[in-house]
Amino acid sequence: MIEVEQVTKTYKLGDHSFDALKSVSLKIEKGEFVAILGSSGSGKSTLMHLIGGLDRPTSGKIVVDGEDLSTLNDGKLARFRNEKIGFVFQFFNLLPTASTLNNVIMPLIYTKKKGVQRVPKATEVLTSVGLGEKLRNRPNQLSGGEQQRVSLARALVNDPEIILADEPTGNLDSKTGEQIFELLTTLNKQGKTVIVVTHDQDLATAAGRIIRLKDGEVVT
Amino acid sequence: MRILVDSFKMALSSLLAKKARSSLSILGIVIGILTVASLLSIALGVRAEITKSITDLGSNLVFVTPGKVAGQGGSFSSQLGASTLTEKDFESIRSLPEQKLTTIAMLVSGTVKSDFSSASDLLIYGSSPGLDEITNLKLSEGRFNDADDDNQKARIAILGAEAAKKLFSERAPIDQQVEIRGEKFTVVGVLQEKGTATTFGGPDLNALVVIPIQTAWEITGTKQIFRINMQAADASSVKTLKDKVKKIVLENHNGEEDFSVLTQEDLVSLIGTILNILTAMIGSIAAISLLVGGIGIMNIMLVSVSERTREIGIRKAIGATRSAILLQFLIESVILTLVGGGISMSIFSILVVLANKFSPIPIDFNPLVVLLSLAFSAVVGIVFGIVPAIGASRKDPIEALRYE
Repeated sequence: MIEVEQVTKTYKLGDHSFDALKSVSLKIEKGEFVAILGSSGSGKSTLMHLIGGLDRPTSGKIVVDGEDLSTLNDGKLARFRNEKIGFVFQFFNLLPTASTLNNVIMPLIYTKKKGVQRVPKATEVLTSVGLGEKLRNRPNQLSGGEQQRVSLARALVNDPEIILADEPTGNLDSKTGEQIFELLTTLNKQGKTVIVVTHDQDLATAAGRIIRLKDGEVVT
Repeated sequence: MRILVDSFKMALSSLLAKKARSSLSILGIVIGILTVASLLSIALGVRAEITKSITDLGSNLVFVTPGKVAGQGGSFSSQLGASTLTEKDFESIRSLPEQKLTTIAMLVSGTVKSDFSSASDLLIYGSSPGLDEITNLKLSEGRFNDADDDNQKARIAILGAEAAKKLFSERAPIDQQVEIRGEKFTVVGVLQEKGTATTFGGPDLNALVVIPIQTAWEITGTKQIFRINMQAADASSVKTLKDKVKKIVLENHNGEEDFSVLTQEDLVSLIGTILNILTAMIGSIAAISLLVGGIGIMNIMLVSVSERTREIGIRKAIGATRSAILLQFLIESVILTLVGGGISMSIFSILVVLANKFSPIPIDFNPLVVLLSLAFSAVVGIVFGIVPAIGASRKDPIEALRYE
């Protein structure tokens, strides 16, 4: 379960400051498929970064699986991201010099989990997203949809409980976008908590719940 | 341990992705390490050569020279003035129990002529009998001067190998005549060629022309003693002999210390002091080139960190800790400098072979120099890599992910 309590995030830009999130509170149950919907600047990415432990709130607290993220030091927060969270980004964020396989293996390099067979595990996950034939390809040899599937495989390889996807279809055509959403739906059915940040109303309807953000506040 | 292996693999693949850049940074390190190693080896070679030439003089030697060699690092020019040593000094120390043999010597300036040629660059050396025993000089033929020669003020000479060649070229010198200061001398002996010919301060033992000391005094009309050479009975009595000689000569000279008593060890350490300064100087000059190489590494690592900001963001997002990022970049710079060190040592070993073929100074392939150079290159990698690596590890993941 993810609990966001009274979270405010303030960015300082020179002399004036700007509240990206204003006292946001919400709960997401384990196994939910949630779409966070909002226009750009609504604070949806900021919220996702905070839930994923990439950033810390200015005030308020975030509790994931009973663990208060504000009590974790940088090292423990890194471990949290590694083991509990799988990130999927809009621009895929793959390493251009590394092969598909090596991109997917990367989270396993930093994990403290014992006994994970890196290559078999990464191969298995890549096969499950339909890229079993492209293990040795570089990202620039893949289509956008394929790259996003590599990114999804990377998010899944360390068996996280939560998948955080930030505009995962933002850089894809609508058909490929739907395929990615189908994959996310499948993952959710397998028991993962999936949180997708998007501004695409149609796709958001695939999620079980929609949280709308506007100007840093939850509107529904 | 696993993270080290992983970091090493990641570092290697990033470096291989930028081959030209990596090679150029390595080149800077190669030049730096090579300069340090070469100059250090030359300095060590010179030191070994000089030390050898001093020990080659003989064993357990004590020298009394005129003038004060002021403690450590004094000059030898004091030997060039009129000598303060007297025959009385010689007589009062020649029968000390700690000595085995005591000789006196005087330098005579002049040109040596034979019927065939003349040479003005020879070292005419008046000596009492025993020079051969003290200095390890060996005859290739003939005999050395003895006490009878001194009594008779005999006009005889023993030639160094080089001196014999200069005066007689290929002819047999024994029983030939040479002329020194207008007097005829008969050659009675020729010395074997000495390998380490030059001693500190320059006299070339192969250019010696040895004549009896009494003869030298007669033909020059002065009773100079340029130096008293003593051989101690054994190694353990060198120190006692030195102290005793110093005390006696000091009394002779009414307490005025216008002379020096030196052992071979003193000479080695005296030269050593000068060489240490020289080595330090050479070392610091060489270190500058290594510094420049190190700055090259730092520069390239800073560029690399900035270019790969997004990569750092990705790695952090998927769970890389600060220390993992730091390690990855630090290992990159250490790989660069270690490869540089390795290449330097390969080139260096070739240089050593070449130097020993073509240069007069023998240079050892000193494993210490190699180890030191490799250790030093790793240190350079860490020192100049740590700032960029820390910069990388401190990047904010969100900022880094947004970086274009």
